[in-house]
Amino acid sequence: MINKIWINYKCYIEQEIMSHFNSQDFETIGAIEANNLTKSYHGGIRAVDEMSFTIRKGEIFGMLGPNGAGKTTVIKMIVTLTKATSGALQVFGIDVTRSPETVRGMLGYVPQSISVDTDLTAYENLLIFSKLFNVSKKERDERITSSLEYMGLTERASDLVKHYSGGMMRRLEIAQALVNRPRILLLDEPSIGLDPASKKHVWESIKQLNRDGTTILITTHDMSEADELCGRIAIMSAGKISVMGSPTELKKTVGGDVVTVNLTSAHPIIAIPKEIGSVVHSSEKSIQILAINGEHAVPPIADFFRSHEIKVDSILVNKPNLDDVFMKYAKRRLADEIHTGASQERRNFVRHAR
Amino acid sequence: MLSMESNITIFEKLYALWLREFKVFLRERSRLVASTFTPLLWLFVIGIGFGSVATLPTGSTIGYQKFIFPGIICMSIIFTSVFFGSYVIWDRKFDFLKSVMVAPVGRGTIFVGKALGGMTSSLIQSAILLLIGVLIGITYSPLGVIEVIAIVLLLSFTLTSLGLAIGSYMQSLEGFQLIVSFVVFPLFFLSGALFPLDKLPPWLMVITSIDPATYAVDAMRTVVLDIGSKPFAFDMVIVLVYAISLGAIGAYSFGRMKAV
Ligand SMILES: Nc1ncnc2c1ncn2[C@@H]1O[C@H](COP(=O)(O)OP(=O)(O)OP(=O)(O)O)[C@@H](O)[C@H]1O
Ligand SMILES: [Mg+2]
Repeated sequence: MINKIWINYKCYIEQEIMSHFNSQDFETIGAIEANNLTKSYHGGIRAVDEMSFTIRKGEIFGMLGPNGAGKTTVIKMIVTLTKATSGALQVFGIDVTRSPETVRGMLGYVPQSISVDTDLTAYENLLIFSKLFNVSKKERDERITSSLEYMGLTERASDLVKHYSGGMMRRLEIAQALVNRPRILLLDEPSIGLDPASKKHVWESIKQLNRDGTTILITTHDMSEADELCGRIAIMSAGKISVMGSPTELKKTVGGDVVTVNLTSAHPIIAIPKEIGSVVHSSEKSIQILAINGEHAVPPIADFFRSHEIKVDSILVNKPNLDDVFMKYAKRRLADEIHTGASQERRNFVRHAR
Repeated sequence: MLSMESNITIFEKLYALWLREFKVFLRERSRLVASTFTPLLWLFVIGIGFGSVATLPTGSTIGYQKFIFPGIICMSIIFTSVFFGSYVIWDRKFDFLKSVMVAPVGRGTIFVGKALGGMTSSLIQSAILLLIGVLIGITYSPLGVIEVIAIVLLLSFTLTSLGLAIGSYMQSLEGFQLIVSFVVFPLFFLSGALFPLDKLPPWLMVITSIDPATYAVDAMRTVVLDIGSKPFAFDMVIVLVYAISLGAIGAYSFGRMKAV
């Protein structure tokens, strides 16, 4: 009886979701769409400032940015924990402010700090959440078991969570977000405080989930994490997106590869031909050359130095990584911010002086 | 069909929220021991100590210790229930409450689930005290036990709501404790738990009549000792009115509570 009602309810939810699409194709709709999304707090802090972005169905989207950039605030608006000051936000085409409960039913959320109950066992945590998420009695056990298995916690399922390590807690939090079988999983800094092995484990689970069809939004400070997981990333700074694209695209925007040539002795003044690359930095015994493709630039560089009879000690090729991208885009914004802050102060000073 | 279904899931969700509180309660035995210890101290030290000097209104054959027994049960309910509100602050300190709020559960349901948890703690503590009451010569009729349970549930719902309402506005545990000590001690001392109210000066009597615990203590005295000053039904209606009002305030406060 209850199950039958449950199924009806499920159908009702599906219908409710579908009714929002009219003739639009479910497949082409963005998983999350934000338009001029803004959140200001008391005191005029614009935590999120006119942000627009679309997260596509089935991708892993990363939000990067320095502390206070507004990443958590964006997630909180999506999961309906806080209301946007202005702008539009839709999850699978459903307006977040108009139908918060429907939206919440489609989401799984792993907050930035501990969100499981440490006085309960892993099993109890999942049991309680499966009830809160309307998981029917029939499906409950199977879902809890498979979530625990998925996150590698089966053996410790009946231990109190307070005896878990940080990595296990994080995995349990993800397991908890999974009992809902969410269409979109939002992870706020999923690998913070984890050792490299646990981090790998969490990454693998995230990738597996994504392969199984879950759209994923993560925030992180960890560039290697973003590089490893995300199809696309947005670098945020002061509530705005500075740049958005695939990791490869973004790395390209930083420029080419840097080839560092270390010499055995101080070199005389030399001019590197343009077709090899341009010198970005040079000191007495080392020269840094920017080239479009580092590996391909090595033979001509070696030939060049040999023909000038300069002894080369070693040649290093550095590919740009997301750290460079991050520094380029987040830093610039940061600098802008300080600049406008300063002029604001000056204005205040002028006002006081009068 | 649909409304029936949502009723079913609401009970399921309430059960889940209650289960969490109950499991936590069971695992924190020190909490139970500590909160049973204080009432016992009052019952046996103050009860016997003051009992040796205090004279109750003439005609009463009941000793001071027995006289304060219903009041001590109410005291344990007052402390347990109001302090229960501090757990909301704990939940918010971590992100536990965030993940509950992100589930498709209404704020009112979360509030009632928590209140049920607080009521359960009070009920278990009261049960322990009622058993200890037998040691000092208190006897209960079967109807009396049911009536006592009703009083315990009603008073604990009222005061848990108060505690949860306060907790939902407070950012820190220290702040909560400060505010709550301004609430808990007046509630206790003004309730007539420790002395009869009919000999008090009028101004004090007026203040005691605002305290919901006054009526619970009186009702409990009627049931357990048969020396209440007002009819049982009257006391219960007053506490019920407080329960509904504070319950509404609590649910409202939860509705506007920030997750951070
Ligand atoms: N409840 C709040 N009240 C006032 N200001 C807030 C509140 N929450 C966040 N802020 C402000 O909004 C800005 C963005 O905060 P947010 O937590 O979104 O940053 P974040 O990118 O997640 O940072 P982190 O990497 O440190 O987690 C910050 O300036 C912060 O101080
Ligand atoms: Mg954050």
